[in-house]
Amino acid sequence: MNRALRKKIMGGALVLIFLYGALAIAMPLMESAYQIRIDLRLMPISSTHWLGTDQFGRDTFAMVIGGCFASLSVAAMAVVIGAGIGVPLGLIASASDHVLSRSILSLNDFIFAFPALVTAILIHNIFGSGIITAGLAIGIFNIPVFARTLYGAARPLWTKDFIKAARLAGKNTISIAATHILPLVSSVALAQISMQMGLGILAEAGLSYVGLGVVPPMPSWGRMLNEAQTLIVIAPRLAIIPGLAIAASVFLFTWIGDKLSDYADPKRREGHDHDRA
Amino acid sequence: MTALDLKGLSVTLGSRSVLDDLSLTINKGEIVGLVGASGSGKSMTARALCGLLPHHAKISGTLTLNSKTIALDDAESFADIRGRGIGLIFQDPAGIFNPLMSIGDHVAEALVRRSRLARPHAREKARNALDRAGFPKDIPAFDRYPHEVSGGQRQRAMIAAALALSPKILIADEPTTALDVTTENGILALLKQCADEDGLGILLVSHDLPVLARIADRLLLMKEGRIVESSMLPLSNDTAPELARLYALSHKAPIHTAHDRRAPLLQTKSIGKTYRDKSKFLFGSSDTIHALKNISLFLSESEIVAVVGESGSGKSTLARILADLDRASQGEMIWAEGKGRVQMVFQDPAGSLNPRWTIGQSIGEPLSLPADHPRVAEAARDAGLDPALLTRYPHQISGGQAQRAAIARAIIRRPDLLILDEPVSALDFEIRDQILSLLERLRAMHGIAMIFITHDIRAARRLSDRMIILDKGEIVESGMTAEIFSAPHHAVTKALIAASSSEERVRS
Repeated sequence: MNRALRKKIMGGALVLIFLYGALAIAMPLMESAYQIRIDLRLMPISSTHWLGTDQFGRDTFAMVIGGCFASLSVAAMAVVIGAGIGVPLGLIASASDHVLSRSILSLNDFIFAFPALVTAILIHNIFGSGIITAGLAIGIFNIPVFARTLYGAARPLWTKDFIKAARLAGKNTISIAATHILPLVSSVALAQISMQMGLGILAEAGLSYVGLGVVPPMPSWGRMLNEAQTLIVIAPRLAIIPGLAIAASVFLFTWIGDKLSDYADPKRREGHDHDRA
Repeated sequence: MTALDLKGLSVTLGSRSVLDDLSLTINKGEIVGLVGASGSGKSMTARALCGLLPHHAKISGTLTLNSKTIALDDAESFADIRGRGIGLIFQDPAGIFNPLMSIGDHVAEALVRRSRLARPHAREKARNALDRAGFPKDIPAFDRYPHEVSGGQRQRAMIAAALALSPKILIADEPTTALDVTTENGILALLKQCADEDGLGILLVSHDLPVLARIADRLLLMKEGRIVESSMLPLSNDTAPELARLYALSHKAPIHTAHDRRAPLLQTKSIGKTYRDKSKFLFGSSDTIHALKNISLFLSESEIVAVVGESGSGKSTLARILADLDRASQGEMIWAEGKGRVQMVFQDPAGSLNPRWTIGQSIGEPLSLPADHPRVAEAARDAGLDPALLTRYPHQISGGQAQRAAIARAIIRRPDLLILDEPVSALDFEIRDQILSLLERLRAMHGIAMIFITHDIRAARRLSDRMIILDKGEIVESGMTAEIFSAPHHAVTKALIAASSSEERVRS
């Protein structure tokens, strides 16, 4: 099962990376497609404009693809920040007993308690808008999520007998964390990464909607929604299409994450119980 | 008079047949012991009788209960006659109690649901049932929650809940496996009393043959989903050779080596361990809990000392301190010059191996050796483990093999002291014997000193030269094993020995 799971994860990751690469290449090619051209505004769906154009004459299909690039970039950056800092913090908290563990967890709660939008406005005011700002703002809130999840997954492992055996074998805490704990919680981390990708896309859409996300002319699903709301009666497709794009990508990532956490939990993986005679 | 008659019970899970044409009868007031190794299907039999099989299981056969005969694959009528006719108790009372419901309410709940009694009436009957099950009268059962009473008391409450519905048959699946020896004796006496006084038929399922032999009227041996032997007690070699052989294994005579003077290895001076009771930190003064008090012991090279005590006696705390996994609050440990390498073998063989590592990787860990290093294979062979298993993962080998792997990992670095924390408690009968023999051989081959922590005074007698009895964190008695057995002084020691020898009415 281990090898089969690894294959699936590899397959999924490769598809995403290829998609991302393709978008990165396609971006400059489509630059002309989302130039503002008032003469082409609100064109219906046709063979030249697959999903029509918006009120500024930009091709909606090109905007959706471009928005995908922005969403993935922001979500990926947020996950890298969140997992990169949160995973080690969670592991450290799970390994240490008293002061360090408690202070990491309290710091987590502090960030959890902080309103995300206020932080985004703060970062926006310091660094200005853009992919970096959005990724940073979402990434900071990913840190406690990863730290908490990893803490919860790793904590019960430290009391296992094979950890005691490893201590008696002369290993120190760091090498036990690296050789025993991390491999056992990696599937939990992977599942969380996928979940946070989905939530990151959603968060990016939200930030862009209120104008704290990526800056024009770079397209963004959230801003597409914002710009479409005044035209909701005349051209509902302008709101429906980016909405569907957001829903589909969030669903895809959380679904992958859910499947991965099924694999991470042996009890759910088995599907039926054993004869414990 | 036959209380339960089961004919031709077969169960298949998917394509695998787990029970095959199994028939058994239980008479009124009779205790039938069902024994077998793990995977023999004894728990499956108990579950089938209670309708607790997994959903995808296919079941066939007929059951006669209360002079009604039904086909087991007829789920509705089976549930109907099972409801009040068959009571069930499990191994782990903690797992089946709702932590938010009081003990008394658990018993009353069964009465309200099944007998449709009004609640005040049900509470009264529940109190009676608890009294009958020997639940202490001075504990207010309706104000106590499951975590506030002991394991033995929880087990009594579960028996009360099962008996409150006055079933004809009680199925007890490993009811005493999780309990101390003295508590175990109390529960067994209660079951015996139910059979004798109320005419309850009991099917007692256990892997522990001596426990069964102590109270059962008849024994059944299961192997691979079939009953292979059936015998009234006492056992005899002619009618039940396999049962008699298994029983003899549990009473093998101790092997004692000549006690020449050996060099000292380890001495501890007044070791103590205290914890602060954190629950009282804010309200009232914080209490100090003494897990260990004033433990002084010495150990010579290649000597085996058993540390015996019931759960909560502090024996596992002592093991952790000796292994340097925990620090003592007081006292000191003095090792002989150049000595001090300690390794440990744990109770649960599955939990002592990393599930994602191959057996070879685990064994090689203390020396940071790769799994295919010849020394890993050598250690495996020393522990009686086939080197072909080194590439497997823990879930692909048996419990006995996993324990051998844990022993191989412990001896690969040639420790001076091996601490065995209940190394055979989780194992089947035959495997238990093999592991004890292996430990004896390792001591003879490599001269490794061992501290054998156990609650099973029978196993301690078999393996140890000297014995230390712990109670509430203190040493209450110590001496040569043979002497302690012939003339025990302290009440705790006497209780432990009496509990293990009250099965002498069985002769093989």
